[in-house]
Amino acid sequence: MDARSAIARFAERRRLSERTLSRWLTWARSDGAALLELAEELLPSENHLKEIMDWLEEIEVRDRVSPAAVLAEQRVKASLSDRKVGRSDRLKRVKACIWKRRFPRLARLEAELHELAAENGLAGEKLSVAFPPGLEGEEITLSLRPGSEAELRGLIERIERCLQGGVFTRLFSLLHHCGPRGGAR
Amino acid sequence: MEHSFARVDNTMNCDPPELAPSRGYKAEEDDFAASKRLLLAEPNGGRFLARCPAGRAAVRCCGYLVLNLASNCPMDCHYCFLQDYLAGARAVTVRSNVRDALEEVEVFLAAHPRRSFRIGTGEFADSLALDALTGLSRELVPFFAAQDRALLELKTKTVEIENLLRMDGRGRVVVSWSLAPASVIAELEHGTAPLAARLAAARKCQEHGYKVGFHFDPLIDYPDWAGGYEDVVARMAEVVDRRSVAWISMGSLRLTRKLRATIRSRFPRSPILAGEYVESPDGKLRLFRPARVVMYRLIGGWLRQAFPDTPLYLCMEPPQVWERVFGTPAPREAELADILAAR
Repeated sequence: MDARSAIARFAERRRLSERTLSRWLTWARSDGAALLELAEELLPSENHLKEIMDWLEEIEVRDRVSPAAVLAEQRVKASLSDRKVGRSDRLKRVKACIWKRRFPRLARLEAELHELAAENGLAGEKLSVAFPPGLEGEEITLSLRPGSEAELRGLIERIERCLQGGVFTRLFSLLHHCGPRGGAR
Repeated sequence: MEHSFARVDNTMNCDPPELAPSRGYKAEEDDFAASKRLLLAEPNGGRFLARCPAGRAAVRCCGYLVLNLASNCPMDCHYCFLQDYLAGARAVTVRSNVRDALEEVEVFLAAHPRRSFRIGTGEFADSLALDALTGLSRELVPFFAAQDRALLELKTKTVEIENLLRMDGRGRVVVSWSLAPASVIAELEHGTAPLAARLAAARKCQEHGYKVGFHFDPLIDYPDWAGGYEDVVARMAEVVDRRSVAWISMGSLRLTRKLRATIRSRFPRSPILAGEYVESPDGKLRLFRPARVVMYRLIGGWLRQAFPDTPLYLCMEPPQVWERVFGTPAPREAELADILAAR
């Protein structure tokens, strides 16, 4: 069976809309086949599939890298074939890989923030920092989950050390404006 | 039908020669593009004057009023909100009862005797794109030239200034251009005048006594945006007389999800689609905040240096972004409106 028929059969089986199928069929044969391989493995909903298609098309427009090439990247392949996790988690991981490819500067900046938080003990179960979705905001959320007064004192001391050490200054600086040649360029 | 539309009977084919297809442009197979080639003149039965739709609770507004005398536009920019807002439009529509509109402005001004206003016609249409055909500016300029408390802003991406050069705006008319790097204009703004021509037209208007304004809106994020916008500011500084620049604004590209879908369908290879946009509190997609603050600060810095006495403001940004960009609290709407209306 050629790739086009296989895509059409998959679309029929998954009851995809005519529009999504037509869009898929306009892709280059190798791109369509690569997406089919992913779709057959992960069985994404139509909305997930469309989002993946959006990202892959946008990456191609910007970076001149074909969908097939993105889907063949090691990180994507590894997430796709990791049988230790269930299908929906693999879908999440694959989407996260493609998202990072699609939003490279935002992903880099978010990673930098999370790394800084983790290095300074702000990414644990008892004390964690969260950033606004898409970094579209000014405020961070600090969560404290002490089990006792002593634990609470310990967490507050850790926050105090971070304040003294300039950790929050760096976090806010990254969040508010990441510099002319930083992650935001 | 009023006399100012002597050349427009009712509907007519409007085929501006500059609307030549460029790379990736699908005008022939697209209903919205086709609507841009037909001109319809008809009276407006409703109100003409409205608050600028950009003014929302979540963002700082500049108190702008829009005078709706036309809708749709013969040019076709990839990012234009009209392709979504006016989806299904069958023509470029110009309102033929301009006198009713001006009466409404008079009544409005009389009802607010202690305030000054900026009023623009470039929200749902380009203010000057069809001026050679409609002669609308010949009605508007004398009317606003006689007002003490209203500034008219004619916002355009064209060089249709011939009518303006034959009139005296008496300092009450600001002609403004939306600016972008030459490569952005060439790729994304089909049918518009090139950057050099816009700047030359601005200079000519200044020489004829008009103040001019500039809008870096939408700011487009692309790999060499910094070089591109630095070049625009440098060329502005070379050509434009900085003493008669009324205002400069900056606004990052914003898209509704629906508009993005429309762009995807009309301009599937548009680089606009590949920007790193996230949803803002007002539901619009914008370049993620730290990145756009960087753009504003850098471009704003060059503008401040080249035009130190010109008010610079942001369009459709929350007060927190103003503060990050300018380092001072955002002015209140009335305060900003007064600063700009007093120019």
